[in-house]
Amino acid sequence: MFAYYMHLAWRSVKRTPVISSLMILTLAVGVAVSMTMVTLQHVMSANGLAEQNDRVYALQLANGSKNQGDDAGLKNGMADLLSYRTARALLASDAAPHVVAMHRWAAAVSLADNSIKPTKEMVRVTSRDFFALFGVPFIYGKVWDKQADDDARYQVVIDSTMNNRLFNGENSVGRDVQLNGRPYQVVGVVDDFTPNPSVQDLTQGAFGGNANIYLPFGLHRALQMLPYGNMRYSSSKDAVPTGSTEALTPEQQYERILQERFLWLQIWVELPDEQTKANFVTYLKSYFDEQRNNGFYERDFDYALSSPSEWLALNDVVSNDTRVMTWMALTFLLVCIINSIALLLAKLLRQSSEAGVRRALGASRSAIFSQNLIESGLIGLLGGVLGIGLSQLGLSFVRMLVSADEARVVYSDGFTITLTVLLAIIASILAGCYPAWRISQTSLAQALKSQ
Amino acid sequence: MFEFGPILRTLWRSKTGALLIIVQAALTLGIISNAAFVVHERKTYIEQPTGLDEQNIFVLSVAALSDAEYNYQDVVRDLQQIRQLPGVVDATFSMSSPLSNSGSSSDLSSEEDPEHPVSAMTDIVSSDSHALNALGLKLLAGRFFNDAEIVTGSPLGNNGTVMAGIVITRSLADKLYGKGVDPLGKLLQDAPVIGVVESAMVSYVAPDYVAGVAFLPRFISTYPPEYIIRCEPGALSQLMVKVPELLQRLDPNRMIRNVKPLTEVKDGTYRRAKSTVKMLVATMVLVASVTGLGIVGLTLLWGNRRRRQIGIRRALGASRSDIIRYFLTENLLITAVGGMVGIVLSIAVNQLMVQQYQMKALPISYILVTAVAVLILGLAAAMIPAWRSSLVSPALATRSV
Repeated sequence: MFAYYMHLAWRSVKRTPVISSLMILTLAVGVAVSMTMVTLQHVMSANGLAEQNDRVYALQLANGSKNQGDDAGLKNGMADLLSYRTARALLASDAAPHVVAMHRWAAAVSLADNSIKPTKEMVRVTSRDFFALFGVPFIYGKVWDKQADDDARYQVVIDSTMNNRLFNGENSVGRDVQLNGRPYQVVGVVDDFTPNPSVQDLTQGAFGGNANIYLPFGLHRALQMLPYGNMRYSSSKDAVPTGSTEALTPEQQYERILQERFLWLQIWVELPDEQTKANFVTYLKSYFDEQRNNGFYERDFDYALSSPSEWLALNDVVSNDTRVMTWMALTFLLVCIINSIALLLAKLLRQSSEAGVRRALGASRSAIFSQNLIESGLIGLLGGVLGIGLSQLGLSFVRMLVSADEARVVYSDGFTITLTVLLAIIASILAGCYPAWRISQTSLAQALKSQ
Repeated sequence: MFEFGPILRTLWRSKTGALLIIVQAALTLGIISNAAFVVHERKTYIEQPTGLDEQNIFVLSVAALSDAEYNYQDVVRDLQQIRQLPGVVDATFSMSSPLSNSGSSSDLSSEEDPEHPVSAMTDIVSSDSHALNALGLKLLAGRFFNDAEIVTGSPLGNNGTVMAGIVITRSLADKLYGKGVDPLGKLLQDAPVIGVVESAMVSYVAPDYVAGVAFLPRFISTYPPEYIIRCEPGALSQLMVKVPELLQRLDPNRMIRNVKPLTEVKDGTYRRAKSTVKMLVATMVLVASVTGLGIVGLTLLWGNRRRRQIGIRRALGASRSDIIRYFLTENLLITAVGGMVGIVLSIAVNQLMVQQYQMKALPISYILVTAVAVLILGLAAAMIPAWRSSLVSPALATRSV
């Protein structure tokens, strides 16, 4: 029976090649456009730290100046960055099992034997808890000692990509890497940790926070490190004076950056359960109030702890443009489905006299229904399959438009392919069922009369 | 003249098809009007004038291989040599590339009235006396600073030296001191304003972020300098090879990176807005084609179904243009209803987007123009099938009766 209906359907499609291919193409384009946008939104909202979502939190404090609006802050009115002094206080405390302070830096990377061409590389300057908190396993060696977070120790951790580039993937622990011409001893090699979007650091755009080299947090004074990224001076006094009257030595100037409210660091904390979270907030409030009393903070105590997924949302990684376009694309799919329903209906109604003859010869309503459903299902199926193919074309169109970093990740994965198939099936059923049902409802007498 | 009565009665008897077209036309109107508005907004943003000689400028950055600070004398030597190359109009340094949307910004306040300071987020450009010419900007009043006035400093301060002067754009002067007010001689962050430049964008392209630009005679020794080179028309691609070679020759112990025409930097900065425009235009074209082709197909099918009816009308004396008019009126009725539903829908959807995604309110003119466009699209799509239907000969159609 099925084979016979298939045969009928195929003949019917062949009889009206223009209308049939129009319907197939319409459904295919609808599926392709909506899937392209859904895929774009899906990869932009990918959470590389989903596993740590209920354990790790990005910290924000109300550390802006009193008379300043919430400019330069995130949507919740607080800056995304904190000061060195705050970072130091949190690192020294035992308020949370793991505290990570970090910023982005850049250095010229070379080897002493000049065996590689020097390149400029992004570097993450961070405290030793980074690897434990974000779950980055060590392949060789281990993390630097606690002292390296407090005093200058010229040590470095590199990831496997960098290790392959510099040392052909060998165990490089104990060997030296030159950063800006100075040797740093490799103490450990870790797995690559380069999530896209780079949820751990979104200050330089959705894809700008990944690095292959990690330096300990104790090097700041020795190198007078400044971030390769944003640094804001937040004070109710004037912004950075262009003509400061006191002459400061470079060391004194740098010390001001460390001690005053220059905001340039990100802090993540690990809080595995509600109790530690509550304890941490209690500690945070007492620290904040104490610093407010001595004039370091100006606003009332306020804070935000955002899980990785909340952090992605707060930083608008999926832009409003993308969201709006996704809705438009889904509406477009609806237009395509409605269009196909209208066309199918008109086409099948034209064939209703055939249905009338079959009914008169004893075919049941459900037989007519299933015959027509197979015909419309065939069109839906062809449209869906073509749509999956076309969505790959749509994605390569998107890859031409977006930045290179983004283009690297805009590919469909298992999730979006499954979704495309599902969408195609839903679209074809929607487009197929109603017309088929309508035809099966045609009254016998009327259908025959029109012969 | 127009057979509204019979058409409406016919449509009422087979509501479903007409209803589907109405919904489709409404959704099409909703998508196109909203998309067209977003496209217009993004295009205005992309095409805002920068004031710079974009076509003839390229940039590069110089990065040291060691921890040492950058030496101002090295930069002076580099730039002097670059300026001597044939085809170079001028060259200068800055802390970041123009139009890259990154740089140094600060909230500057005028000290006119200490009780009510007026402040404006300002693009702080530290550069030398060649900045004006290298960017292609015009001085409106006062003077630009000279090279003797350059101080060396860190982002924090200038080792105790007060700056000899500060040059600001007209847009910044308007914001800080009032429209058209002469700012010359007024103090800004302890330094006197010595010159006014035409309004322009330098580091930042986001007009809602910075109000204007302040040029400071300052060299920052802690960050790698960015060189800005303006060329004579046609010399750019050649100089983009020659200048890095020259710099490498002057001091091989450094990296010359990111050698890019300014137009490429600008493209990168606007990439997101540009891709939005292209994707939306593609969506608009596709929606219009799907709806248009859908109407073509449907009118064809309806015409075929009514061959007998048409034949009878023709036999009873209706002319071919009567038949065409019937189809077009029918189509106009359906799309007009769809258009009205669409207008309501567009406004509602736009309200939702305003609330949810901080979009701007859609002007009614966009909806009306799109509604007319959808009507025309519908009529154009129905034209050929209607004409084909009118070809039915009276004899052929009535033969089967």
